[in-house]
Parts: sequence; structure tokens; C-alpha cells
Amino acid sequence: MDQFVESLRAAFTTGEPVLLVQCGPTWFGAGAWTAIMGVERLIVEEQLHGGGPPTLIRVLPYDLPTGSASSDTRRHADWVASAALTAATPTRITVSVWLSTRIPDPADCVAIGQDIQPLLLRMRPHLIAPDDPDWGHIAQCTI
Amino acid sequence: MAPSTSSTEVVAPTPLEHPRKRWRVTVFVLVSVVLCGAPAALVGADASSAVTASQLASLYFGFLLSAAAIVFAVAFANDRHWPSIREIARFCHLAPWLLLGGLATVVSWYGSILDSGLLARIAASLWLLSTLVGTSSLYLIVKYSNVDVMNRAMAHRLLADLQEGRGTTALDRAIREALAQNDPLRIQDLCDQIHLVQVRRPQLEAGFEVALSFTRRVVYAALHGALDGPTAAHTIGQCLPGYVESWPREARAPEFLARRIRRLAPIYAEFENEARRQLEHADAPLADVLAVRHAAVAAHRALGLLFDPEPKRATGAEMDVALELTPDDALACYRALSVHDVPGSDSGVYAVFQHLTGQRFGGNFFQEAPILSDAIEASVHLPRERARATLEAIVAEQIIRCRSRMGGHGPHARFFASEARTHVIASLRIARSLGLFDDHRTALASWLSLTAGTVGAVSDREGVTPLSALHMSLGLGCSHALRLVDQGAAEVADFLASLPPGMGGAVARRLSHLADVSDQPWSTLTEDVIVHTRGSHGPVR
Repeated sequence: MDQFVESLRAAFTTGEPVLLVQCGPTWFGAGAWTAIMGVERLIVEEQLHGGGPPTLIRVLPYDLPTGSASSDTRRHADWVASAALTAATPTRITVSVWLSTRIPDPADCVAIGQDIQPLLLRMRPHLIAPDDPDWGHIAQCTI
Repeated sequence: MAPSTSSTEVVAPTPLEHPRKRWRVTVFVLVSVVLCGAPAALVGADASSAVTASQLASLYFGFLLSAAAIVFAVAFANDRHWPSIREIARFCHLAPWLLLGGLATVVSWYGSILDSGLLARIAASLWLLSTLVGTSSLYLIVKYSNVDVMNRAMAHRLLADLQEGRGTTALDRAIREALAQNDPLRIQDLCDQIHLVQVRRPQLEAGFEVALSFTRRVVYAALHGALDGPTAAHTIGQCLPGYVESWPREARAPEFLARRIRRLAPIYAEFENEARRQLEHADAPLADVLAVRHAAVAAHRALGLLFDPEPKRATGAEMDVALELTPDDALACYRALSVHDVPGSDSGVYAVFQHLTGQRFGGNFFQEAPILSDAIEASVHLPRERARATLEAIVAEQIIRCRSRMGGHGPHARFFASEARTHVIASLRIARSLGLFDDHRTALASWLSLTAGTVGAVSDREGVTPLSALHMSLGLGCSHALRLVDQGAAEVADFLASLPPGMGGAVARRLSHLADVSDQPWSTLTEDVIVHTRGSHGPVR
């Protein structure tokens, strides 16, 4: 997980759009909370002070708490909700949150620039956004 | 000089000098003499003497039975479920007495029919034995007609049932019956029994569940039904005690007491809040509701004193307890005590300061001394970042869960309006004691990082269910707006505008509700909440 956070940090320095997928079972284990908070802090830092990517696209699991393997489903559901809230805050970068109704392939990844579109197209059938389900709109906006 | 001996020195009685013991020994000797002497006397007796002896004993048997029936009917007329008649009969040894009487009758009958001297002598012995057992049984009936003795016995039975995992169906029926009849005396008896279980085995989970369920039913019957309030008030204090001096050592351990605080504080708050909600109705039974509310507030205050390592005004048993808690336990207790607004609960902030820092806070939070930011700075055993996240989350919860308003409403508002106003102002000042902001950008940065990181900052151990992420972020928005009020309405407006769509309006509405104004609470908050003679209360960095 530390590697994952480091790769996200590195992606933020490229100045290109970043795709962040966090749907794998590793995020729902007992010891994952520190890593989750590390990612969230990094994103908030970037929202407030970063000069990095103009856009961050996040893919999080949709079916929390019912579909989660977590032992603390409420806390993980709150994680997704607060990620959506902070994404809605007007800041330096645009953050979009998409929810995946199935575990995507890959389940966890950090992608930048041109690598984003093929990944998103592959995940597309199972992605929904709570506030804007228009795929075309988000595709034009973010890619 | 030799020490003088006081003339009023109390000398403990030797075992046989104790009155009860002496009485028991006398009875034992008499019974032994009768039991040993009777067969010897009967061996040499002829049949007619034995029959006469039987008749005399059966006369006494009849007298005993009549007396027992009268006392039994008077004392246990209302008992059907808990205790049942069968249970009382077992306590009073009715079955062996009646069995012996029946046996004596049958043997006497056969002795007369068969004209047998042996059977007549056996019958006389049985009659004598049955009168002895009957005397003891009548004594027990009289003894158990005393409500304290019966309550102790039933508490013992309840404890055994709970420990062995047997059901409490009979007790439930008795509770339902007592509540349906609004019978304060029977409720008092049940309360005493549950209290004794709580005193003897406070760690027993099933016992706590029974006590909680009973107290809830009694309190709601008083608030929404026809039960009298003082009975419910008494039940709150007796069935759900926060601390009892005579508890065993393991129940006086800090971990147990912390758990007790976490579990009981929301329950007392629920009773207080429910009573206050009732006071909003013009036709509320005022005396009953006020009695319940007073008891709930008093019990909650006692928990607050238990939580405080150096309580100032404690008068009860809590005063002797200097609780030493881990930072996590201390924060969880503070949260449980303060997130539901009960008047006076705000003073728990001094206790949490002491638990986190090991020192007593010297200032006055009501004068806006920065107690929470100082607690975070001086936190000894907890990383500052974690202490801040948790305290910010608790303050956000306090603001969201607060039902009080700065103005009083309803026909009976005079009974709580002043306390409620003080409580709201105190809560908002505690929120401001987390540190003020210089401008809306700093406030937004803090809000954003806390919203992203506060999720899960408060534990969902037993006690209060945490708020959802949305409510938590709204509470954080309120506490941050409050800490920006000093910089003027424009800065506050900029902060609210920078929050996610809809959030700024929701923050303003929530604070308007607390300030009891229809719109734009900022001038009211500036006037009533900010202490203008504030000292070194610096901005958050």
C-alpha cells in the first residue's frame, strides 16, 4: 500500500490527469485504514496546495456496505461518502468520483494521461456517478 | 502514660451472645428434645393415648393451616408471575408440611379402621412432625410477607436465572402487569430486585440488559402513560447506577467504569431529551415529567463527576473515585457524556483536559479560554493530530445532535429555557476553543482535511452511534464557521460559498436554529457567544 501511495504522489507531479482506482479487497482489510487516510490526505493536500494534475478521476466501490468484505462497513461507507463530499468542494483541481458496481479490472491502479481512457472504457459498463450518470459528459470533461 | 480505655467502647458479641443466634439455638434444642423425647414416650403409650395425642396435634395442625392461609392470602394476594404462588410455596416449605399432614391423616385412618396400636403411635409421631414443620412454615410465610426479605430472595433467584442463561419470561410478565395497572408499589419491588442484581453483579451483561429494558419501560410509561413520575425517577437512579461503593473490585476498575459511563450517559440523555420533548406539549403531566427529567439530569451529572478525576462539587460516592483512563477511553467517555445535550454536560471538558494532559485546566472555558486547543497541544499520551481529529469530530457531533436552542419554546419553556440557552452558548464556546481562524481559506483547508480524515475518528464502541459522513462534515462546517465569526460576516460568507454545493446553506440554517433566529445567525452569535474580553485565544495555524 505504501507503494500505491508513492505512485499516486508521483502521478500528481506529472501535471497530467490522474485516474485512481481503489476497489480491491486490500482496502477493506483490518489494517488498511492508515493507507486510506494517507491517500485522502494526499488528495486534500493536492486540492489545497498542489500545482499538479488539473483533473483527478476516482473510482470507488459502489456497493458498500452490503458488498464489502470489510469488518467495519459503516466506516468504509463513510469513506466513500466523504470522498464524494471533498470532491464536490471547489478547489484547484477537479475531482470526479465514480462508483463501480463490480470489482473492476484492474481493481487497484494509478494511471496518468493517455492510459486513462482505455481503462475507463473497460470499466464503463459498471460505473455510475451519484450526481451525474451521464457517461458522455464525464468522458468529455475528464479525458 | 498508659492509654486510657473509653467507657463507651463497643465489645463485639461472641457468637452465642448474638440475639438471633441465641434464638436459633433455643429452637434447635427444643425441636431436638421433642423429636427425641416423643418416640420414647410413644413406645410405651397405649393405642387410646396415641389417638388422643394425634387429635391434639391435628387440632394444632388445623390452627396452623388456618393462620397460614390467612397470612398467605393477605401477603401474597397480588403475586401471580414474579414470584409465582409455586415459588412462594417453595420458599415457605408448604409442600413437605402438607405432605406430612396428609400422610398422618392416612395413617390415623388406617390405625382406627384396623384398630392397630402401632399405626396409632406412628400416626401420632407423624402429626407431631407435621406440626413442627407447619410451625416453621408459618414462620417462613410471615418472614416472606416482609417485602424486603421477598425482594432479596427474588433478586437472588433473578441473578441465578441470568447467570445460568434461563429466560426471564415470568419477570417480563410481572413487569407488564405492573405497568398495565400503573402499580407503583409493585414497580418499586421489581426495581429493588433489579437494583440488588446490579449491586451484586454489575458486570453481568444480561443483568444490565434487564435493568435497561425495565427502566426504559418505566420511564416511558411515566412520560407517555399514567404511571407516576417519582416512581420512574426512583427507578432511574436505582436500576441503572453509575457507581456503587460496595461493588466488587473488578467492577471498580477504570476500564469497567469507563464502559459504564459510555453506556449509561446516552441512556440518561435519552430520558432527559424525551422529558423535554414532552414539556413542549401543553397537556404534559408536568409534575411527572419534571420528576423524570430531574432524575435523568442528576444521574447524568453523577456520571460526569465519576468521569472527572478531581470533581469540585461531588457529594456522592463518585467523589472518592479518581478515575485514571487511557486517552482513548477518556475521549470515548467525553463523547458519550457530551454529544447529547444534557444541561451541565459541557463541564466534562475539564475532565477530558485532565485525562489527556495529566493536569487540571486553570482557565474558564465559558470565558472562552482555549481549553480544547490547549488540551491538544499538551496531550501527553496521544498524538496531537489524532487528538485534534477526535475532538473536532466530537465537537461537530455536539453541534449536530444538540436539540437545545438559545431561546425557549413551548408552554413549559420556563422550566428549561435558561439551562438550554446556557448549554448552547457553552457548547459553541467549547467549539470555538478549538482555535480561531484568520480567514476563510484557512478554515476551508481545515474543513477539507478534517472531512477527509475525520471519518472513523470516533469509535463506534457501545454508546452513541457515530454520525454519517455527511452530518459530520456539516457539523465541522458549523464549528469552522463559528471560529471565523470574529473576522466578519464577509469572511464567513466566503467560507460558506467555498463549501460543496448546498453545504454552506445547511451550515447557516443549523446555526440559525441553535441561535434561535430565522436567518443569518452571525450577528446573534457575535453578540451572545463571543466573549469580547477574550485573552490570548490565538488563531489556528
